[in-house]
Amino acid sequence: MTRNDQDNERDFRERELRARFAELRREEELRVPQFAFPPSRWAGQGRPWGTGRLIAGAACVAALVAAALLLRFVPSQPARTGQPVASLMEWKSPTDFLLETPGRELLRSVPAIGVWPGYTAVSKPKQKQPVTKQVRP
Amino acid sequence: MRQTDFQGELEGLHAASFGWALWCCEQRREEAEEVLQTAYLKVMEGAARFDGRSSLRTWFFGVIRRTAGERRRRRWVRDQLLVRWFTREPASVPVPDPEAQASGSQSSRELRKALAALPARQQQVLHLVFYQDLTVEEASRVLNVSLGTARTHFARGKAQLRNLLARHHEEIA
Repeated sequence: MTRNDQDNERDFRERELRARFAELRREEELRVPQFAFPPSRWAGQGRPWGTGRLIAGAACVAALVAAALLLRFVPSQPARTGQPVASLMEWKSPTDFLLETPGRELLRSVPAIGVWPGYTAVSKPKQKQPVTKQVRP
Repeated sequence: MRQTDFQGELEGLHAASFGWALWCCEQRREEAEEVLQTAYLKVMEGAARFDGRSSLRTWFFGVIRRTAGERRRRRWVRDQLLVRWFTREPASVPVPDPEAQASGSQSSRELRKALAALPARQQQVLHLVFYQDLTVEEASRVLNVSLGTARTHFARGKAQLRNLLARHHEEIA
């Protein structure tokens, strides 16, 4: 089959499809409802209070009631005990103890040479004999 | 365009618009009527404005497609979230109008049946090109897809539709 024959067959098939669709269109055109413009208000979006809007409205009212109840029952500030407030100088952070790490006292002092706290010498080190130089005659 | 001219143009398009609405609503006649009414309402209230960038037919078919999509989504939300939660029953799946399905010639019934077996996008492109006599480019504008995508859907849909019709003929023979 040549390319021309293939094209012809394709055209024929497409014409056949078009003819089928045209027949379908003719049949469906007989059952088209009457044109109405302006359209009646009953169409989905035109309804003033559709189901969706009703649900959205109910949700808004429920949210407002919940917000009002929350504002009514939840105190906005912690209750005051009547005790005087400590001054800033006396105030201590509740997490201050976390700064007290093990061995922190060592960092607070300057180490001294010769004094080693907690160290005891086992034996005295031998004293070195002074070297005397012999002068040859 | 004056309001009366516009109205006249829409009236001229009415049969074609209903055919397209029917296709967007999977052949459910009642739903297609409501979709078309809502599309007219959108035009009348100014929610959809024709800016003249495409033909009136292409633009209005786009409005119908979007309206049908919105309606489908609303129905889905209603069915899935409300009906299923409150009644614990499976959501009702709307079926095509049986009267419309049974009506018409043998050839039309075959065509409807074969088209129903295709993916929705292929059905829509074939409908716009063969039924509405639009070009593939115009169909791509109605469906809001690229021209390449529309061409692919058209070629695949056409090939598949031919196969389905041929198979149906073989079964009869």
